[in-house]
Amino acid sequence: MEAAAPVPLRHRLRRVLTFWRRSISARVVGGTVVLTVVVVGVVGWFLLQQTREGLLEHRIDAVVVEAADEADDARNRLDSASLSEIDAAQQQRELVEPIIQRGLARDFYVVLAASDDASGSDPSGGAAYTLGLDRDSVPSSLVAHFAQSAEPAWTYTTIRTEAADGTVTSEPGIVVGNQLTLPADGRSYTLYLLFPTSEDAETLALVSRALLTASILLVVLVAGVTWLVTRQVVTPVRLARQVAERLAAGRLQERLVVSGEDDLARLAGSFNQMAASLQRQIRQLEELSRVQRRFVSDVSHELRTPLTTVRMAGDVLHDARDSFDPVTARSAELLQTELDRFESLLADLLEISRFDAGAAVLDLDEVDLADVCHRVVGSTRALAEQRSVQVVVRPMGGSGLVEADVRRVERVVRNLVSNAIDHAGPRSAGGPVVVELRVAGDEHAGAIAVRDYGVGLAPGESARVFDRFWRADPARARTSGGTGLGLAISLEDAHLHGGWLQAWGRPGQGAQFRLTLPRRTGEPLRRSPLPLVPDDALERA
Amino acid sequence: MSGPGGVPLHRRTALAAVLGGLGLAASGCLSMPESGPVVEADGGSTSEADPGTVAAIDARGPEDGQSPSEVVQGFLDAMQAFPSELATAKLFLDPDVRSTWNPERTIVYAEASPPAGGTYHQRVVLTGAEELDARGAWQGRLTGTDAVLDLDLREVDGQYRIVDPPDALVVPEEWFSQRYEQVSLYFLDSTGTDLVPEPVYVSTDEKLATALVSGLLAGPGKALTGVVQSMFPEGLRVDLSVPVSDGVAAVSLVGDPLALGDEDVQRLLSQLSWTLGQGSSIQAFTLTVGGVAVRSVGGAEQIPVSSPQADDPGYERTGSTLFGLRDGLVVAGSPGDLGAVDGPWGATPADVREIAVSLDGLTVAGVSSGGTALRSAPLQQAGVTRTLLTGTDLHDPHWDRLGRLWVVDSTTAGAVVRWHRSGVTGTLEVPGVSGQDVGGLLVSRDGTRLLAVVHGSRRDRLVLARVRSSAGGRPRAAVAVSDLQGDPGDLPSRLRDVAWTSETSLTVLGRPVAGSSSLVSLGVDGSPVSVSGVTTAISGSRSLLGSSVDGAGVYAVTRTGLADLSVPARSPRTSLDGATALTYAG
Repeated sequence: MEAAAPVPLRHRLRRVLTFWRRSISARVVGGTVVLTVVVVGVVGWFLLQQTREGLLEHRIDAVVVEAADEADDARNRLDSASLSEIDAAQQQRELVEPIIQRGLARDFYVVLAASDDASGSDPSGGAAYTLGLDRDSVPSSLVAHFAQSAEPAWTYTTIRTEAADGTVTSEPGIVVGNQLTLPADGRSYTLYLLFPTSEDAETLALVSRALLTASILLVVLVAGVTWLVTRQVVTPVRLARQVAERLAAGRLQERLVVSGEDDLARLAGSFNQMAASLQRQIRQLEELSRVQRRFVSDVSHELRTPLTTVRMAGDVLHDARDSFDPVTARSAELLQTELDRFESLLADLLEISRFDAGAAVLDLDEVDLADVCHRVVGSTRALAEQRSVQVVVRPMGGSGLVEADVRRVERVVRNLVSNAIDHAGPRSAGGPVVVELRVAGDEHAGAIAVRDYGVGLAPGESARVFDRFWRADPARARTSGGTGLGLAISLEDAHLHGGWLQAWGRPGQGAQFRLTLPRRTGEPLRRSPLPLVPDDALERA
Repeated sequence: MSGPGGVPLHRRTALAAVLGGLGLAASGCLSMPESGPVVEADGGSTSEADPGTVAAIDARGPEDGQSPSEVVQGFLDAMQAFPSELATAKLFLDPDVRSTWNPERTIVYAEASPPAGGTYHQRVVLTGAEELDARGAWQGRLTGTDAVLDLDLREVDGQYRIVDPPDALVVPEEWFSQRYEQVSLYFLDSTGTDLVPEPVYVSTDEKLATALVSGLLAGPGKALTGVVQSMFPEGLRVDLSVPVSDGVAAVSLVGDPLALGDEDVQRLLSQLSWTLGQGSSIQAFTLTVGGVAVRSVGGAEQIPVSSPQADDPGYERTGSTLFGLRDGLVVAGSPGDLGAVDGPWGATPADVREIAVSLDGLTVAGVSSGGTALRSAPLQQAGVTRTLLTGTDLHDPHWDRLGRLWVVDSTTAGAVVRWHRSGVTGTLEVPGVSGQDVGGLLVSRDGTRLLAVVHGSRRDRLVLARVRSSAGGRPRAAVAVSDLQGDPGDLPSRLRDVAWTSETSLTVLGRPVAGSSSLVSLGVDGSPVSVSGVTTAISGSRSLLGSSVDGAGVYAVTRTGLADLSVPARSPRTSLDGATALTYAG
């Protein structure tokens, strides 16, 4: 069927199906129509059956009585017949002729045949019957009945008649048999009266047509009413959908038109209240957020100037520490260290507030990610050696060439590497402490993954590591110069490039952070050249 | 309504399609059945016949191994089936004659000898056998070889069967008298104005109407040509039967439709009306001839039956009134309450010895005291006496409905039957009566029957003659003369008087033997009639007084008064108050 069907038909069918899926009206109307058709069909069938049964019952009663009357009359006439009549054929003829005449007037057919003869296949003939009637119209079952019983009986039959011009007509009918005895020969004869039921059939057809017409009109009416009702309900719903879509798109000022006081109107009112409440809260949140960012930015800026002065003073003290007593010298060193941290924290805060204010811009250039890795490894070698951590770069194939802001990419990678050195551990018990940098690229993207074998991340932590000031273990002392904002800034940087920064970790198996950047800024990212879950982790699992 | 997926949609579409198809099937293909089982109709119509007053007799068919005499006896018994049917009797016949055996006559016997004879020949001697013809008219007694059934038999499949059945239904008298009754077929007299009864015997079962109509169609017979006539043209035949339902007899005749004038149709309908009126269950009838319905003058298709009494205009006036002479004056009234009439003869003695009052009750005729003149005068109105005819010894004047006045003139050369009508007189030669010694004369009201008591040398005879008349009513000849005999020995050898007891029956009074006179009832066809309640012997009676009108009493006139013959003989007699020559009209 699919092969034979032309494409436009399929197309049209799909459109119809789409319409069906999307339209409540169509489904409600369709369902109601189907239900109505079922009910009307069942009721109609029942009514027609009842009508038919009633018609038949009435007709049978009437014809049985009429046949009994005819038989009584015939018996009466036979009882009155002279004994000296010995010509059975003539008596039969004389008996049946007036009945046939009455039959012509009252629309029934007559067969008078000897009971022990089959009426149709009587080889000797002898049956007297209405001209033009096919004697086979008397069913052989009825003939057989009278070969055994004298009780009057009836059955349904098909009455076949042949007109003078040779046209044969057949119609349904009822045949009633009554047995008589001709005094002329003392034999039993059966008087079959055949009553056509075509008039009843016409009545039934009339009733059927009326019922069918009424049913069709009823179904159309129900469909129309249902369509009107669903339209009343669905139209406001449709409007609400449109308004909801606009609200979702940010047009918070959109509202439904409320008309009337019915349920739908109250729904629209509630909807509008909900929209207004949402709009108010979103505005408040936006305002609060803006005030906070502004506050952070302002605080950061306001801290810079006194910090510069404190810095200069600190530098003086630090330079002169050799002249201090050991305790004071140690204090000066601590002051210097904390000032460094304070400065970098302030810088990070300013960077974050730049992102929040949307002021961050990219300075794009062609960057080879592998070069970036080597440079970062070089810049963090001191820290790594201090921790006895071995940092290695592993190109995983493909070109790591992307369009990016090299300063920001370097910052991201440096953050990741120093973070990894902070949390690094030995790959295997007793082995060297290693941090691996993997670089890969393809025609759409380039990626860097930083892998450590430290304590790893608990379930759920991989999403939270990018939160500002988030610590996996709040009690753990900061051993590196991390401000708690590094990963947040890295994530913002990655997003600025249209790239991804994702974390994976598992307790005891270490963690891996993967930076994926599109080859061209603005191109959508579909997949990363490197897996987020490292192969060795999979192996171990 | 949930889940607007593709699968439910397909399901619904299929469901809708199926339902649609069902709907179409329901509306278009619903039709009347054309076959089915055979169903017995309850309440099989059993046409209930009236519970008759006589026993129904179911004939018994032949049994294997019956002897020839048993077969003949079985045949005779089977003919007594009632309601009548011959199918069983036919089983005793040789198959070759079964289909042709058509017993038209009826033989009624008082006693039958047991069948006797050889293997292939059986003889049954019937005693007191009488014969009825196909119409049921009494044909008289069978004597000699006619009263013997000689039946040949033959072996058919090892069984004896009758080869030459009699052309008659042979039944015992008792059976017959219980199941047949004498009724009349009404024909028209020669003028076509009056209906004349011809008595026949018919079965009282459902075949009564059929038999009556068949008898009418058969006509009165050649012997009565000119006496009576039938309006039914020849060639008509009863179509199967004349069924009676709800008191209406449907007379359907096969033949050419009637080509008669309105008057003749009316006469024909009168014939049917009077004839069918005798069936107690028949109140009306319809007539179709050759498929064409015959309507009465009024246009009605359903015609009520009638009776002679209802149609006789003179009935009310003179039906049961007695007339007589007292102190020479004509008196009229009921027995015991006679008063002089208003006419001239009621005022002054008319010098008559016998009187006759016309059937219309207007005229009285009388034979002068010397018997030489026949005079007439108005009965109740003023008028003059006229002499109608003169003779030697006139006696027994009688009127008939045509206004003819009949009288017997006993001349020296024997009796002469004379008549007078509207100033015209004539003599009718009646064989067996004219020239004889006639003791009395009776004329039927319709004027077609003359009944004379003829004194013979050894015994008296009762002679019935039918009067053939012209279309104008003038008597032409006496035909079909016969002696009425009744059962042998019933009639006394010497007869004194005879009187009508109905249109078709008579009572005969014999001369007294040992002081008592015997009374015998007879049919006008000579058949013996047993009239219930009529005394069979009475003492001291001189003459009879009777009328064919129903309701008129039949009396014996004795010295002490009138003896009502319908009550026991010992009942008191009604005084005559000196009245003589008592008579009813006619």
